[in-house]
Amino acid sequence: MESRLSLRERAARGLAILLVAWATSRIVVAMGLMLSGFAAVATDPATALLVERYSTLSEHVPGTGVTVGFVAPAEPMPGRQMLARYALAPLLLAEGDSHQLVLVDLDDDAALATFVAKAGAKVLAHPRPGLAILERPRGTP
Amino acid sequence: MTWGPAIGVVIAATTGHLVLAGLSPAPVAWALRVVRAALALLIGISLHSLWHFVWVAGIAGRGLDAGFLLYDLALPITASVVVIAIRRRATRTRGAASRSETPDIRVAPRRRANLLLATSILACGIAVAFAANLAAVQPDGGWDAWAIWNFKARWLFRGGSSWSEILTNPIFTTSHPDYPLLLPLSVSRLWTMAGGVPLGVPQAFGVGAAAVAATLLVGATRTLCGPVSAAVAGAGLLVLPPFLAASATQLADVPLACCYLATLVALAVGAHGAPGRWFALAGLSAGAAMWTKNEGVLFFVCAIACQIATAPLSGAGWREARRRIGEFVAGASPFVIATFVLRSMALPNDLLAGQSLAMSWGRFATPARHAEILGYGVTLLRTQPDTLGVIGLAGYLVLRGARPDLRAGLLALSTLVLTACGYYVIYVVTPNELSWHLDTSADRLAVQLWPSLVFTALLLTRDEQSS
Repeated sequence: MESRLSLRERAARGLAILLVAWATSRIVVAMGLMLSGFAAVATDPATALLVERYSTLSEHVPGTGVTVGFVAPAEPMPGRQMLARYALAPLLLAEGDSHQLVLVDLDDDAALATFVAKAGAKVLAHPRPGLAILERPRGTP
Repeated sequence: MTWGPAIGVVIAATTGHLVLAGLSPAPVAWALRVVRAALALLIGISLHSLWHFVWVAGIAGRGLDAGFLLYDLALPITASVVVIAIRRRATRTRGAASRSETPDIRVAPRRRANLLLATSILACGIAVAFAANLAAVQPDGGWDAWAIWNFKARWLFRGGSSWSEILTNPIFTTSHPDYPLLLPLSVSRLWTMAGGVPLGVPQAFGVGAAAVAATLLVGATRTLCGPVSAAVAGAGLLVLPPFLAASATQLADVPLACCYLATLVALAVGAHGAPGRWFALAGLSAGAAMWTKNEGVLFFVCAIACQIATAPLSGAGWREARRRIGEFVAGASPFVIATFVLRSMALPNDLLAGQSLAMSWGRFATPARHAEILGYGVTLLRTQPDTLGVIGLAGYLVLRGARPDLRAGLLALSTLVLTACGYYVIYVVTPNELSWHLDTSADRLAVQLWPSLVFTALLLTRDEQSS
């Protein structure tokens, strides 16, 4: 039966075998390297750490309908506010401190204390160093 | 908790199976059965996301939450009632036709070809397992996954009456309020069944989409081209490693790739004359694409335009062409309506807001933008796929030669080319900084199109000799 195949058909089949063998060997090697630990997958652990950090506030954030401000250092880590939104959904989290409730995520407690004193705010929740929900006095711009 | 999402998937697959049973007769060949199973899952999940949209928008948070499972089950029950009614009517019309059969389009395969196909399927299975391992390393997914899709899924799961804030509140501009909701609704539906927000659900969704794409690609190529080409299709999918990475990082591009591929597969099976309303199934799949990402709207429009353009070549006559396009549009109509409702509520798209024709034309008439996009495209083509794999795939296609009957292939090819042209124009006129826009999205467009491109290329090549 095989002999009745044209040369072109045979070549196509040969190339198909090579292609399948190549693709299979690549994925088997990749899987083997991954499972054996010889190859590590480069990931950014900061995302999971920040999600976990913000999740500690989930018991303390207000219900839906209240917009909370967000203050963080000048973005050493891009997307902190978006990660906080993701971790605390459904929370209306807006940029800046022009809201009565503000989620503050600073480097440490010293920076947080300075911020609280400057804003004249009350700390409602403070689960982690530098992380708090503050209530600013009514009428503060 | 553990079984909730699994039950949700089974319910969705049942709904999809019932819809397919109503639209196309049960096939005899295993390969077409596999294609139908993958299509059933895709269509079932898409329809349940629409069903869940109604729940979120109108019922959730009104003290009826305990009845969610019953509400979810109402969709397959309704579908089964409709299918029974259709079958009874068909039986009355056609007499004693107890079971209609979709014949296998290809000849019986031989053993060696089957062994090659089995190896390719095994490689795809290992690739899916690889993607699952990658997904576990990055539990919250990539940037777009947590910032857009899973963020919205969490909001829809927990939001109750304020669900529409994600569409209307300007503070969520960075999460793209106008983006369609298939992915967030599907994940939040399974979370509702789980009674929590296990990260395994969006991870499984991303990896599962890659598995469905592989199944559709190999099954459809086996049906339409033969076992050797099907083996090449499976290997061809693995030629683009970013496809697996995108599925592991829970991006919407892999589910979108599934919808594109499902549309082209249904169009091709329909064009080959298989009995059943395959053009309606193609419409359902294209509608699901529209409900997955905004690019799906472009794809849907391109698919209609290409069906019209290739109608004279189809040899079926204008009456038949009109029927096919009508079925296609009717199939997509639930998703068209949902998209229209969403767009009427949501803030405008960031690419369109504040833009004018003059501004767009100004960008279009800037040669440097065209050069930058083309240069970026060439770099992507050079760096993204596995070079040896591409050479092998191209060599196989050349050796196989062009198929004498190119009708189905041309429809798929023209749809893909027109969609790619649409992507190109969007980059040319984008109000965002072009280099940033290319850097953050162009590689994912390749992921969206790759499975369809492999399928189309094989569809255009000559059948395997049955010797």
